[in-house]
Amino acid sequence: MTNIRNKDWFWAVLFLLPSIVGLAVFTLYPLISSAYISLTDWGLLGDMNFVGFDNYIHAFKDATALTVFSNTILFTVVTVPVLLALPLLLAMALNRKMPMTRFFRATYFLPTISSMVAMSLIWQWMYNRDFGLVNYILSFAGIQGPNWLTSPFYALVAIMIVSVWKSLGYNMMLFLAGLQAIPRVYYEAADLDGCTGLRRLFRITLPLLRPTTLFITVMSIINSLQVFDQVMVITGGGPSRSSSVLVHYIYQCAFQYYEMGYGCALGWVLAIFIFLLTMTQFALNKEEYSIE
Amino acid sequence: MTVNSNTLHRPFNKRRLKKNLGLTVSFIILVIGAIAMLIPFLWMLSTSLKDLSDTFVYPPKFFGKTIVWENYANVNERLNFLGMFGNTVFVTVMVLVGQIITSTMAGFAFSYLNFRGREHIFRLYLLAIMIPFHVLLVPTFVLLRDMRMLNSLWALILPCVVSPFGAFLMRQAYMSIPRALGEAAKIDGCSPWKIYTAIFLPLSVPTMTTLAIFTFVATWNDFLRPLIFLSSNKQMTLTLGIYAMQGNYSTDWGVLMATVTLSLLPVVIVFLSVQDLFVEGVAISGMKS
Amino acid sequence: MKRVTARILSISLALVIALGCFSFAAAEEQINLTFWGWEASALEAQSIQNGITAFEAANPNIHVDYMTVPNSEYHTKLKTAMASDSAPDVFYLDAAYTRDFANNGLLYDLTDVIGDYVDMNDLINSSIEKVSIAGADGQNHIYGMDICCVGPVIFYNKDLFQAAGVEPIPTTVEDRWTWDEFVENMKKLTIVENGKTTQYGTCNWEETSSLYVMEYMLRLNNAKWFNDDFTQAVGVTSEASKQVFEMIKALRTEYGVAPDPTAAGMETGNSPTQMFLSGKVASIAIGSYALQEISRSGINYGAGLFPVLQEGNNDFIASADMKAIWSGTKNLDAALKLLTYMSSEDFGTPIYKTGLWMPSRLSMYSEDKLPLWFDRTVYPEGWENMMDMFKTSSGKWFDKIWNTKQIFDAVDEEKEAYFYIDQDLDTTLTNIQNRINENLAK
Repeated sequence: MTNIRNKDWFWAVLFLLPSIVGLAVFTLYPLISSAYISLTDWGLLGDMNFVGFDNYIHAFKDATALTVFSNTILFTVVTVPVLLALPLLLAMALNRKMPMTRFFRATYFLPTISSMVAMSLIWQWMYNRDFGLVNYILSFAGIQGPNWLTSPFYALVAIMIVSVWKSLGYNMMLFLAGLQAIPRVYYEAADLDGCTGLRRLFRITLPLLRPTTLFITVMSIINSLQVFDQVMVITGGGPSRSSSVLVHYIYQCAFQYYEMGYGCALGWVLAIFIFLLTMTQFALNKEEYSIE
Repeated sequence: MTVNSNTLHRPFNKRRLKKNLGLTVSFIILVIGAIAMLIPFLWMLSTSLKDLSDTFVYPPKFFGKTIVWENYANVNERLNFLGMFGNTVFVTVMVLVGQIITSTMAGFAFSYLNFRGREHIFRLYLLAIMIPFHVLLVPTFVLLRDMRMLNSLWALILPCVVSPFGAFLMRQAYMSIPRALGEAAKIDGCSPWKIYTAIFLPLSVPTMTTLAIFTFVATWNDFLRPLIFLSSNKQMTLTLGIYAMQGNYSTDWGVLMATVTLSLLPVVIVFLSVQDLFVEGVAISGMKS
Repeated sequence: MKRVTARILSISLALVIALGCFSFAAAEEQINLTFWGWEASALEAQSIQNGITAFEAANPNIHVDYMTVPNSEYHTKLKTAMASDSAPDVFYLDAAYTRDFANNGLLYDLTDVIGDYVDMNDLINSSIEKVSIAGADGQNHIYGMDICCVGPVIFYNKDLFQAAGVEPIPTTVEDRWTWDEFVENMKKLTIVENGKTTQYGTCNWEETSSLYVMEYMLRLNNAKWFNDDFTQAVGVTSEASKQVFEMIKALRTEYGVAPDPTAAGMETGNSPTQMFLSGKVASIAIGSYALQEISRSGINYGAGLFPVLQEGNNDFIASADMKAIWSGTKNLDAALKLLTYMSSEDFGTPIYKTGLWMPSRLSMYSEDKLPLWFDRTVYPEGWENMMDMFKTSSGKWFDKIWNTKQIFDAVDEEKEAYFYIDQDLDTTLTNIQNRINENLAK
């Protein structure tokens, strides 16, 4: 018995070696290192002095950090519900026999696979106040389009729109998979009971979709908290930081202002947030299974 | 006749009517959505064929006075497009191959092999999935600097060769392969390596494809890593290149959009040719996480 | 058998060692230099490439590794490279970063050696200010060398001016318009149809990610933002600087003669000439470097001076990039050779010809050297009147600060808050002063 164990150990080491080495060098070591750097005032060029939790305390006093925190949270609070409702609606629309299903699927997925940087450039051009397509389309509805990218309010809205547009298809596809996994018998039984329309949605579809919805919610929140590319390309965080978000500020602190310690500390704030969220999802999911 | 049957079987046809109504409404919703999805791409194509004077016109037009194919010809002159394309292909292929190898090997160990601490180690992998890259930014940067790999394409490859998510995905796939298959091979005297290459790998091609597609899209489109780890114009990847192009003293929207179009093509082609696999992959990743 | 193998082994070992020594000896003579630049235009890239080729031909033992880094990331990448001990020996440096880098000991102090290569008396005033920094010892230290300068001018579209019946923008100090005249003329050039502006009088006064026009306007209005040794921001909140902010904002909000920056597709601040080149804007306030792009655009253009804001204030600022040597270089002599070659007339002349640069050497403005570069087909009518301004120009304030990136970002943020979010002007200027001081104190 021990012999087999030993043998399996040999093979396990062999098979796991590449990935464990990789994880140790490029995840574990940086993780520990990042925790340490976050406790120092290291500025890339100078010495590394231990400063305790100063960076973390500073994060809650720094006016700019507070701005980017609140922008990030606002961004998340607005986009996530939309990224649940719209894709669900579309998935339900698509979840039936109809012509052009493949076309729709491909179309909705196109933004998802395209690079955010490229998409952001296109949108930046479309948001142009005078010559942009967005305001032109709005003008048909009699709406005088705003100065999307120089207005503090609309700049963040512009970023939100791009983000929703981009991830819509992905969430839709997840919902569609979830919908198709619901056994038809439930609906047939509902039909016999005369349960239709909205009641069917609230009594059958949504409850049975819960695991999918939970997953999409958590994923969307995590992604929203990490929004970066579109901010960097479309507004650069402006005007006057009104569209700057956490990761954008982390990037600036660490790689433009060389406040490495502070950058790491902000990174940890984000990481802890995400960890708690994921844990919540696991906990909720477990509850789900225990109920069933 | 139909009128007749309508009146005769009212409940049934009411349902059919409703069904048709539902279909029509759904279809309309989907068409509107699809237009919203496509407009930016069409606008990109349209702008890529305009010259400067046609770009700044109101109301915006989808076609300019002339079609300027030169914008596409100018792409390489302005940007070293081919070099960047080559860099991006190189990085993507290396990461792809690396991830497939490390992920399938780890997945195999976590599913087929029995060894003490297996579940504990696997749990660590799951924890690793949760770590956002942003917390590792600075130390990774420092590490690559000390390894003298900054401003080299290897800075984009090495840290990405191992993906805990990939290991997880492959392990899930291998768990569904009947153990008996491996046991039978073992009795025949096959080593675990042989079992891995001859049985598990071929059986997991669909999941491997899923992983490959995900990795391909993520690596091809990555922006933050190139932004931080690369400096030289020669080493740039496409995303970084078009970002930097926007930062030049003058931005010509026509050429810029032509560049964007060309940079998107490979991903779009790959996607359209493996669309079904892709969709399946998304579904799997959703179900299993 | 074994013995034979051993013999072969030892022979090959000896060969390897001999070869190693040989190549080592050869390497001692061959010097590799790395050189970084950001390439503002395709033309400049060509000039640099030609320059390197010529330099290598003249110095066969020196090989130059040339690397370009995108403009927007250039200085952060450069600093990073220095921190990782892999910096270029010679590199382009934006003058705004000189003190930032010098304070960190990253620039080689050229004070004692540069005189052997360059006639410092031939440098125009703003260039001397640009390449030197007052040290703690009270002496001026030279940290780089340049070959060009760029000054603020207003380019205009002659056709649009003629159509609106507006006189050309004056090119001599005496004839300069007053601000009111300027505004009146810009109003004439602005066309509104059905409530939508189809042509704007002027643009780029609010600048994004740049403090070029802003600083010049402040100085023309006798404002002063720093103390004498630039260790502190003082007087930012003065009446004079308030006026300038208000004047600039009014162009867009009150008179409607300037577009919102997004209208030009220049929200990132990197392509201010776009709008002008589209033919929808009659004039643009910008650095003289834009001449190169404008001269090739097919637009019938002219150029003139900024309006006079305070009687008797004929101030003119000029600045541009320069080249510097990394303090950690291992090939100082070769680096100096390259630096001075890249700062030579031969190198600059083809670029002066295109309008991207103006010379920073007094001798280049002399009768006999002028024809070498002053191309009448590029430089518009009246440019010769403005040349004295370049010759007597002074350096920029913002070339003397440190923690440059932080300060630029902070000032930008506050500027945008005033221009686009209607933050109160007193608050804005107070914030600017405090935030500059915060960063200067770091």
